[in-house]
Amino acid sequence: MKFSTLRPAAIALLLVISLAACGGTAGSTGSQGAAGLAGGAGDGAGGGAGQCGKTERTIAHALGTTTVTGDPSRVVVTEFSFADGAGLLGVRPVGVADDSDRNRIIQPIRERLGDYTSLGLRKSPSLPVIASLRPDLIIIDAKRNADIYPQLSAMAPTIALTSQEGDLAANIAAMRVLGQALNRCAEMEKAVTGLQDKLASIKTRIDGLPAKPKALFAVAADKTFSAHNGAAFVPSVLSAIGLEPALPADQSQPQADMGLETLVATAPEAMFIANYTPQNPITAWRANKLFTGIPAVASNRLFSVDPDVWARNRGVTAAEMVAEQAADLLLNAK
Amino acid sequence: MTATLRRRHPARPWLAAAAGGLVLVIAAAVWHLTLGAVQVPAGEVISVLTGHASTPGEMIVADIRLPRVLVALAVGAALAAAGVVMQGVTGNPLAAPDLLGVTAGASFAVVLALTVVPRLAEVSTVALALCGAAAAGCAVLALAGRSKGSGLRENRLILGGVTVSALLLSLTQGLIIFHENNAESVVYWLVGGVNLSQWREAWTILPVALAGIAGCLAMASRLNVLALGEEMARSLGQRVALVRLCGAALVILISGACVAVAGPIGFVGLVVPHMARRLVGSDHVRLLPVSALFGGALLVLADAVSHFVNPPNEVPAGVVTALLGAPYFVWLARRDRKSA
Repeated sequence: MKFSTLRPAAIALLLVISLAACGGTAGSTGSQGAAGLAGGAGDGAGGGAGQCGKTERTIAHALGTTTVTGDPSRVVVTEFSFADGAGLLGVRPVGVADDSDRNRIIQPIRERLGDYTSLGLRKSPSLPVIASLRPDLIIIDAKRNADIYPQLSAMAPTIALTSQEGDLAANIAAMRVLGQALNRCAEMEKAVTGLQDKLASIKTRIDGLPAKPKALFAVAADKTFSAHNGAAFVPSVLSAIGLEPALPADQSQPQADMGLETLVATAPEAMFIANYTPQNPITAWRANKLFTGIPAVASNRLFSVDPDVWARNRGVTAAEMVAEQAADLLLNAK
Repeated sequence: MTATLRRRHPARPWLAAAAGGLVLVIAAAVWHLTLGAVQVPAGEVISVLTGHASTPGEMIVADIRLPRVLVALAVGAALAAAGVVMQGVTGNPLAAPDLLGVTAGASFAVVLALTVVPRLAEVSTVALALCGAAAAGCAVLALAGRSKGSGLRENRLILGGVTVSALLLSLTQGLIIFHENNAESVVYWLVGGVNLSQWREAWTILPVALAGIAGCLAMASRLNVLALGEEMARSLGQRVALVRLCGAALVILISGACVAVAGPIGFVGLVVPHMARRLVGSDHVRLLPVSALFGGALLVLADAVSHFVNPPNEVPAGVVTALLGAPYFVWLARRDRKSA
């Protein structure tokens, strides 16, 4: 009897210990990756750029190598940033995974896209719809859509690129690969240079601030407050315009849920929050004096930003808009 | 039979179990209060408990950690008590609020309001959760139907509960995915957690939990009579249907309120009564308070352990209770099969 009552306790204890051990390893990896944010824009330009101009191009991407022939015209994409990249090069994708909501694509990109067929959710685009579009090039997210890569490859040449899990440098590198796949390297280079010039000019505006605040970007949904660190897209755009991320880069986990105590300890000097839902942790925390004591909140630098521009779209157009809006918000808050 | 139970489990072990539970609750709470992203010396934690909160560390303990611990304690205790009552009124050791669709119903109602009519959620999350819990509970009872007498058909009750739970859980996930495309929110509404709890949540749940546990305790002797079997209970003059109705109402009240503040935390209501029964026997007068104490301690501990899963990031405590609860339950099921 005694033994049998002890066993569940022993199982529980073992589990607690193994959980604690997992936590230890998860916490100790990471924070090694701030490198490559500023200079990273040049990455990825080398290797495949020579492919442009050839009829048969061998494109190296996140999930392998794919041969693309000619100038693809029936392109299908599963992320907004890829739709943006194609649109910038004058290629209108015939199919876009838009979460079944056209309005999630930010306006400038939407206008360039014109009419397209929705593929449904970005996380799980509809394979029958993709097949029915008879694509000659499919571009998917290297992480979110990795599981359907084999099926899509059977339909048409498929290329897996970084969007959600990548910072600015990784997204720019993805854009360059996209340029090779579409056989428009020079046009893409022009778009990338345009973005870099724009970020540099916004940086000079930010330099006018008496003190540049450490900035935190987070996405708030009804029960989650997901903070993005230096390895995520928006913080790397902000650091390109001279705003140091309040959370150092952690490549293993660019976004992670945060509680009020960690937020208080992080003490950001400016906060950009994309609200997915009207009720979220921020609305609940406003009544807490520890929250109102956070430097960003106390100095009126808590900004609510458009989740479509800041959180759902990445890529060239979104980067420009994020940088522009951040500068406007900070300079007007003075 | 009650008398036999008491004889087999004389007074001392049950008092020891209760005292042990109390000590565990206090130790877990104090340990939890010292954990977090900010290092707060133990001295400051203790000075908060004596009513002082002036330094930043003390304010963090008083305004962030203390309400969270209280919510964990109240939710854990109330869910465990609700589990005992659920098992008592259905006469089924597998019954628990989360297995009989009540928790899933409450979550579904709250998520439906959050995603489809956000204004509705501002009115009262608790009221919404109660309606959802009640509707799901009634649906399960209707599915279970009645056997020739007026008793519940136990197997159909469990099957109905599992079916309704699965349906509501998938509907809840569907609502969140199609509305938000946000995986983190799905996790919260699947497992629950107290990591975002503040004083507002504490003041919401504490009165309901206290009233709910008191209600359960008031039913203890009637549950003992019901445990003798429906026929016997009836011949002893008990109004079986009324006892069951009161029990169901208590369970719905407790689970609804718990889901409203902490999401659908599972396994506490199922596993804790089993653990407590092994310590103090089946007499509800002893089982209920001991279950409540261990339930509170379990959830406080689970939430404390959640600090270590992925520091300094937050993991909902429900993940930890499921991690602890599921293997225990598997072990329990295997043991019962062997002994059967």
